[in-house]
Amino acid sequence: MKAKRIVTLILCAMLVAGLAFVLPATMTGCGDALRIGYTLYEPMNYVDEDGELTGHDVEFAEKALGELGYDYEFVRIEWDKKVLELNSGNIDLIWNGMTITEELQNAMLISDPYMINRQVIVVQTEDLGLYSSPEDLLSAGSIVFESGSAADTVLHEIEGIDESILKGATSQATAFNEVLSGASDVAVVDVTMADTMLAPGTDYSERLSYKDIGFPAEEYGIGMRDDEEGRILLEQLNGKIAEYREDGTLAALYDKYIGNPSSGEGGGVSFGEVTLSLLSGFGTTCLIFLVTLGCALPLGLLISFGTMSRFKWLRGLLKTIIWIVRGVPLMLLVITIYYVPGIITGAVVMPALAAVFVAFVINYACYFSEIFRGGIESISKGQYEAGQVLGMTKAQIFFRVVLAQVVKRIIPPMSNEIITLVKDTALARVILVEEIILRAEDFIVRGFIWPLFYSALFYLVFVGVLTLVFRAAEKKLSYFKV
Amino acid sequence: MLKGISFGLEKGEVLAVIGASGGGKTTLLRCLNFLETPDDGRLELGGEVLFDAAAERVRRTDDATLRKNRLHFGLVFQQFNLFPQYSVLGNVTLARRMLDKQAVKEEKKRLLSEMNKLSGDARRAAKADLKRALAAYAAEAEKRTNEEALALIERVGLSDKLNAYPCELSGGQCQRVAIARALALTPDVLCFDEPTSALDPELTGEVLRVIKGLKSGDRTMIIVTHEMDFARRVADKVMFIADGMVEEFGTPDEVFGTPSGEKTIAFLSAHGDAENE
Repeated sequence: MKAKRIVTLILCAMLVAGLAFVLPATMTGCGDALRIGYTLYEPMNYVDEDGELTGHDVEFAEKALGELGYDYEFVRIEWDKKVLELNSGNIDLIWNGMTITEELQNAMLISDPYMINRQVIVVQTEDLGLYSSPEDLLSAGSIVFESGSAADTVLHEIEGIDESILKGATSQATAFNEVLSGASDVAVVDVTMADTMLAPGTDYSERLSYKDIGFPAEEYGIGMRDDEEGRILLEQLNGKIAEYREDGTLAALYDKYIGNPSSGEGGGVSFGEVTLSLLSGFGTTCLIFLVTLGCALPLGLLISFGTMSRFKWLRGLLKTIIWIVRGVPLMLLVITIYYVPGIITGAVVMPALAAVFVAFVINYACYFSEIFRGGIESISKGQYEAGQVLGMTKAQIFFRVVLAQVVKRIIPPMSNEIITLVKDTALARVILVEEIILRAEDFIVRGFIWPLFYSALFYLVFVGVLTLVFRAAEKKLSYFKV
Repeated sequence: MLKGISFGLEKGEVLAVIGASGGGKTTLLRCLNFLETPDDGRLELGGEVLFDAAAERVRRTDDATLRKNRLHFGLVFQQFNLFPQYSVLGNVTLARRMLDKQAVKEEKKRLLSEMNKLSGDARRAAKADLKRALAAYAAEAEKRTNEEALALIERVGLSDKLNAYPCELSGGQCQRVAIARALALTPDVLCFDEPTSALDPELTGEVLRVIKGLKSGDRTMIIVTHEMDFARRVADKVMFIADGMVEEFGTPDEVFGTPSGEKTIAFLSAHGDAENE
C-alpha cells in the first residue's frame, strides 16, 4: 500500500511540475481588451514582410478603436467557426472583410457596410471561355467555395443550381488547390483574394485565371455579439463608418490596399523566409509533442494502475473514460475542450495552446495507459512471488524487478504511439495554434503551395531521430530476455 | 486444497514431500512462504508463532511483519523465476542489498530523530559523524554481501558465469543460481518446489547434487519432489500427501520400505517402476 502511495505521489509531482512549466507560458491574453477575430486574408488582414499584422481592415480597426479609446488585440480564428468563436466569447468583433448576408444578420449584430466586394470565378486558364454568366455555372462538373462565405450565398441563389456539384471547403485557399489539381472545375472567391493569389510569380498564376461573371455585388460589415456591449459598439462603429466615409478615410484605405491591384509585391517568397516561418511553427509542434509526452506518460501510468485496482468502481470509471477518449476523434476532443467551456460560461476559459495541451495529454494518457497495462500484466506472477519470498517490498519489486521488463516489452508499441503523436500535433491547427502545417498553409493564401510539401521534411527528420532513439533503447535492453 | 495437515520438523532435518500432482504439495510450500494465507492453522518456528489464523482474523499481519516472517523461509521455484535483467551475481545479491539499504535507512531515521534533541554545533557534528559512519557501514555491507554471494555461487559451481544473464544459462544452471539466491538470505527453512521438474532429464543430476551438498547439521530443508530415489537417499523424513491430506509420514525406510496406506502403496508402485529401471 505504502509503495503504491509513493509511486502515486511521484507521478503526481511530475504531472504538476509539467503543468506548472506549461500553464504560465500559455495563460496570456485574457484581459479586458476587445478581441478582434480575423483570418489571414490579403489584403484585408495579412502579415507583411516584417511579420507585422496589417491590411485594410487591420488599419481601419486600429484607427477606429483607437479613437474610441478601446484596448484591442487581434485573435486568429477559423472562418467557418466565426459564429461559434463570437458566441463562446473568445472574440468580440469580426473584422475581416465579412460579407453581410441575411444568415449572418440572424446570428449576430452587423455594422453598416464599409466596402463593396465582388465574387469572381477561378478556373484553369484554358477554361476561361466556358463561363461568362452565373447561369453558365450550371454546366460545370463541380464548383468549390468557402463554406459560410459570400460565395456560398451567391452560388445558392443561382436558379436551378444542382446542390450535388457544390463543394464547401474550409478556406478559400483550399478552393484554389481544388481547381489547380483538377479536383473541381470552378472556384468562387472574393476578387481581392483572387487578385493576391493569382498575382504574377505565384504558384497558381501559371495555370489559373479569374474572371468577373457578374455575381451581384456585396457589402462588407463588422460583426459583433448581440448583447448589451455589442449594441453599444454597433452604435459607435456605425458613427465611425459614417465619419470616415465623409472625410475620405475609407477611400484612402481602399486606394492603399485594394485600389491598384497587382501593383503590390506579387513577387515570390524566398526559401529562407519559408524555412524561418516553418521553423517557428515547428517549435510549436515540438512544444506540443514534449508537453504531451512529459505529462501523458506519468498520467498514463497512474491510469493504468487505476485500471488494475481492486476497487471495481474505479476500474469501471477509468475504463469508461478510456473508451470515450479513444472513441472520439482527437480533433473533436480539441474543439470540445477549447469551445465548450466558453459556450457554457460565455467567456473564453483558456488559450488555444493550453486547450491543445489538455486534449492531447488526456488522449495520449489513455492510449499510453493501455500500453502500460498490457506491459505490466504480461509480467509473470512468478517474478512478483520471487521478489516476495526474498523479502522485498512492493515498491522494490515494481521498480527493481518489474519495471525494466515492462519497459522492454512496451518499447515497440510505445514507439508507434509516440510517432503517431508527432504527426497528430498537426491537428492543433483546427483551433489555430500556429504549428508547422498552419504556417505552411499561410503561404497558400499568398499563392505558394510548395511550403506545404516542404513541411513534410521537418516531420521526416523528427521521426527519423525518434526512430534512432527507439532503436538505441531496444539495443540497450537487448542483453536480457523477458 | 489442504485439509488438516500437521507435522513437526527438527532443526537440520530434510523433509521430502511426495505425492501425485494436484495433491497439495505446492500449496503447502506456498503457505509456509506466506504466498497463500491458510484459512486455519498455526505456524511456529523455534518457539515463535509466525502465523495463527485465529489471530489473523482479528487483525491482519502488517506488511513489514509479513516480510520479516517470510525471511525465515526460502523458496526455490519450479520455474526458477530468476530476474532476467540481472546477472548471476545481481540475482544473488539484489534482495540482500535491498535489506541492507532499508536497515541503513531506518537506523539513520532513528538516529536523526535522536540527534534533533541536541542543539546547534553538537547536532551538526553528530550528523557529520553519522553520515561518515553510515557510508562506512554501507560500504562494508556491500563488500560482505558480495563476498558471501561469490562464495555461494562457487558452491553451486557457477563461478565462471558470474556476469552471465539468465538467458545465457541452461535450465540447470538457472536453478543453481536460484538456489544460491535463496541461500543468500540465510533462511532457517529452505523449501524446494519440484526443483527439477522443469529441467531436461540430463540436467536434473547437477541440481540434485547441489541440493544434496547443502545438507548439513543445521540447515532445515523441505523438498517437494518426484525423484523418489533422491528422496529416499537424502531425506531424513518423508511425507506422502494425497488429496490434501497426509497419508504417510516417517523415515524414508518406513515410508518406502513398509508403507501402510493403500494410496501410498499404489503411488509408490507406480513411481517405483519408473524409478528402478
